[in-house]
This record gives sequence, structure tokens and C-alpha cells, in this order.
Amino acid sequence: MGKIKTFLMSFVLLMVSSLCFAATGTVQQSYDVVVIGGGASGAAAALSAAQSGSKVLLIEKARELGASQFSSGMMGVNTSLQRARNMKITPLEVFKQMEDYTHLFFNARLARTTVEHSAETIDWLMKNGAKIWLPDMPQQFAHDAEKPIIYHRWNSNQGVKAIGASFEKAGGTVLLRTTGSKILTDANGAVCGVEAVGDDGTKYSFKTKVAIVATGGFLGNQKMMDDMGIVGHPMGWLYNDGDGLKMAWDAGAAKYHETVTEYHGTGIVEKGTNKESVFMPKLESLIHVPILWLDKTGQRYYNEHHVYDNAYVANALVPVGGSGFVVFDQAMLNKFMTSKTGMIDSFANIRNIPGLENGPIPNLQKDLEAAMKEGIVFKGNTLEELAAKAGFHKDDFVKQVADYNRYVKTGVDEQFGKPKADLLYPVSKSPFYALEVTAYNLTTIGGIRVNEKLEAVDNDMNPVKGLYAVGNVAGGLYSDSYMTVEGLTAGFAVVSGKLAGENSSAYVKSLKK
Amino acid sequence: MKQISRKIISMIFVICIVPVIAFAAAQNNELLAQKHLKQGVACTDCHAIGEEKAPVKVDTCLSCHDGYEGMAKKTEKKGDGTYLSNLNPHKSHLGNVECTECHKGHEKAATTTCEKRCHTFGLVLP
Repeated sequence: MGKIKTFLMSFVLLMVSSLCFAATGTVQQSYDVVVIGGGASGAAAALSAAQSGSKVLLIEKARELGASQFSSGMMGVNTSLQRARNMKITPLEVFKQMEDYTHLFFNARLARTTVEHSAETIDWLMKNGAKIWLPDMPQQFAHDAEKPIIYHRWNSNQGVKAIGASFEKAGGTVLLRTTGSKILTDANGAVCGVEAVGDDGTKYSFKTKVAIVATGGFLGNQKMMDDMGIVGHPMGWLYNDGDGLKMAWDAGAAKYHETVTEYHGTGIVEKGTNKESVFMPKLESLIHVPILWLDKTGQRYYNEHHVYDNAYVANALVPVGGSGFVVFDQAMLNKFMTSKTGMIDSFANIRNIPGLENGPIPNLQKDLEAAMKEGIVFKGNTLEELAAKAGFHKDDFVKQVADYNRYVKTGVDEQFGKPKADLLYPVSKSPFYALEVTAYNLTTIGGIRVNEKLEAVDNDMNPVKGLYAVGNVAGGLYSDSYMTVEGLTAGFAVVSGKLAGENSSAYVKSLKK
Repeated sequence: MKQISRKIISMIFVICIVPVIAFAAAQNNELLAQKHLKQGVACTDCHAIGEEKAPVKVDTCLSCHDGYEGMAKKTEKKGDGTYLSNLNPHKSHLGNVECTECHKGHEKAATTTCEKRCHTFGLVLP
């Protein structure tokens, strides 16, 4: 009986262990740590793991590291750059800001760790070749205007490449044009391998104790977006298709907040393709001011003063379908073409607009007429005609405009309480215009439940041994939307990457003991 | 007198300007491979002998066109500070985009890589 048991056990063990060995015809290699995805988080994870003494492989499906990521800055709290300018801000202050924004609907230990380690991470990135600087002005009015600047600028392309170069210098291996396809686990549920496929069809099987998933969000996958009810214009790129999330879930990680996305800013989008329109540069001045904004039925849907917060202006559009219209008349258009607009442009700092107010914009009429041919702009000699063309519910729209004109006249927005200074332009002089505006979406942020060590965990917070998730696939920091801590996404990417590299290397060492 | 000068002007237009426009249009319709041939660049200058059907390697393009940096310099625009006014297709946040992701030798140019999902720049590609 005992013999049969032993035989069966060894058979089971043989079967299980064979899961970690590749089928014939594959390239087989052995590492301590395999990082899947070479963007800001993955490159940071790979470098810190290599510097912690691990044998590391970084695989990236694109032609080069950083080809599928884009950021122009990152959050840093109490950094050497801030201290050099005598700016005082503590991690706890920013942590409290995050508490407020998420209503505690976040992983507090993860958030605390992120702000705590941001300063040392920025120093570390600079030491490893990334060029990072602190701008003179806050980049956006709403997010940090009253506080010391926490948004540290970088050219993410230069930064990620530099980290990649330091990684190779530290003995790490980069494998480009290769896509991770599966994370293998052993009988105990611990990571034991990663499978990948090269663009040329080469099949790889890597034996490894650690897999760090760093594959970014999934806004490159329109179908996944549609399935999850994510609207708006995706700013994520082709390679970010959600495959890393699926791999981690299959390996035992719990799902967490896979539908959380960072709506941010609005824009003008081409009909049918959901891509940014060529008219965006020409007409964006009209969607950066608190004039009359309506949803697709022709009703106001927010206090337009929130146009000055890039997160809020986009968030407000999401419950009404992700796109709406700015509506104005010929009188306002004439004014914009011949003088200053009379309103601060919400992108004034980003676009370096002198005096913060746009105008005159002499080509506006011409560009609107051209955009009309593409179905982005509608024009009516009467409000009724505009309603018919833009698809507004006629009676509601006409009443809404009459109400709004009254608010402008009295200086009191009875509906949403927009400040008097923003109630500048009635919609009363024919012809009337409606320009379609769409919420932009930076990235999905979440999907794999993690703890503060960046270990992927199950629903009981038990780690899947050897599995880590970093950057935009790690779920727990964001509750529902872009947090108004400017640069938090890229900041979290690099901090979580660095920490996961260190923590996973400690895990590898613990196994060797 | 007025009529005569108008006639002269329109004749000048037909003789000088129209061919220029027509030539420009023809240039844009011409495939990149034909343009190369006209400049004296033979098939095997780009395609390896015996592997004529394989796509041209990026390094081959870059060796004649001054590398990524050289191309970036050629299409550099200062801009007026407005959004995308300094757009440089050869230097972007996408890093070193491979030439053949956008430019095609034997078919019409594809939309640029960045235009596949995010932007519509309306660039006219050779």
C-alpha cells in the first residue's frame, strides 16, 4: 500500500514539476527574476532587482524599451530637488490628500509606501542616468497650484532608455520583440517559470522564481475597453492590450479594480475612429474655457468652472456617455477671433500662453466651418435647427439655453453655482454652434490585487509566491479615477518597480537559504 | 489693356504653375521604390542579394539618411507654442520608430504608427 502511495506521489510530483519545464522546441533559460514589460515600471523593477544581486531578464514586446509608455513627469515628495529650492512637503501631507480623494477606498499601506519612497526613487533614477528636473510652475492649475510643486518633469523616453542601459550594465538581459504568454506555477502555487513568444515565432521557456508583471494598462485594446464599459478617447498605446493582467489572474492573483481608469482632459475626436482629430490643435481653445457645456441631449451636466481641473472636466463627462458639446453663438466667436477670450485657458501653463488668456484666434471661423464637414461641429440659424443637427432634445435644449442666458444676465447660476466671473457669454446671437468634446483617458490603473510589497495576492491577501505586479496593472492605490496628486501614475510606476525589484530579490535569497 | 494683362497672367499660370502642381502631385503618388530608382539607388542597394523579398532593414535606411538624429533634424519645426505646432515625426515620445512602420517602398505609405490609435496628424508621407 505504502509503495503504491509513494509511486502515486512521485507520479504526481513528476506531473507537477513538468509544468515548469518546457516542451521540446523551445529556447530554455534560467533566471532568478523575469520582468514582463519594459516601460517605466518594468525597467525600474529590472534594474533594482539586478542591483540587488538577482539574475534578471526583462522582456518587452516592442522594438525598444519604453516604446509603449509616455509620461512627462512623476510625483516626488521631499526630494533633493525640492529641498534645494527650500520647498517643504512631507509624505504624510500627500498621503492625507490621497485619503481624502479616495475616501479611504484605497490600500493605505501601499499609498503610504508609495509616497514614502518617492524621493529616494527619484534620486536613484537620476543616479542611473534619467534626467529629472523640477519645473518653475505647477503644470496644471488645480492639482497642486497652492502647494509646493511635486510634479518632477522628465522625458520618459530618455528616462526609461537610461534605466534600461543601467540595467544591462548591472548584468541584466533585455529581450525585445518578445511577448510574455504564460506564468507557470508549481504544486504549491509558487511561480516557477514564464513562457514567451518572439515576433519571429521563437518559443521561450524561462525557469524563474519570480515573475514581475509590468505590462501597463489595456487602453490599446478597444474590445476590452468596450467590454468593461470604458468610454472616451484612449491615450494608451497599441502594445498595452491587457495580456499581463490575464496572465497574473490565471496564475492565481485576485482581480482588483480592473475597470478603474484615469479620465483626464478633454479633446476633439475624429468620427468613427476614436482618434484625436486634426482639428484638435485648431479648436482646442474653445474647450479650455468655462462657457456653456452640454451633454448629448442638450442639457448642462456640470459646473463648467471645473474645466480648470483636467481630471474633473473629464470625469464629469463619463456619466453622460463620455462626450458632449460646447455651445456658443456668433457674438462669442467674433470676440474670440478679434480679441482676448476674456477667460483663462485651462491649458495656459502647459501651452505657455502669455497672460494665461488665449486670443485673438483669427482662423476660428474658418476652422469651425472645415470641422463641420467632418461632423464634429454643428451650426444652426436657430436653436431649433442646431438641436436637430446636433441631436439635442429640442424643447429641453431651448429651455436650457434660455435658463443659461438668464444666469448670465443675473450673474447667478441657479443650476450648478458656476461663479459669476465665468458667466460671460450668453447664447443669443444667431448663428449658433455646437462643437463635440470627448473625455480623454490616460490609462487603466489596476487589475491585480497587490499588497505594499507589490506581491500579487489572492482575495485573502495571501501572496502568490514569486508573483509581483507593478505600475498600471497593480490594483489598490486608485479608488475610481485620476487622483489629483500630479504625477502619481508615473511616480507609482517607478516606485513600485523599484520596490518590487528589491522585495523579489529578497524573496529569491530567502529560497536559497 | 487690363484684359491683355489678365490673359498674360493666366498664360503664365498655365505655363509655369500648373506643371509645378502636376509634378508635385505625381511626386506624391510615386512609390518610394521608384523615387529611389530615379535617384540611382538600385534594388540591391537596399535589399540583400538573394533576399529581395525580405523587408529592408532599418539600418540600411538609416545609413543613407543620416540616422535617427539626422532625420529628426531634417523635419524639425520650431512651432509657435500651440499644440503639435512643433510636431516632428522623426522625434517623438514613441522613441525610435522604425522607418518601415510608416514608409513603404512598394505600396502607398501607411498611416503613421502614432496615428493608428491616438492621433490624426494628416501628414503626407513620401
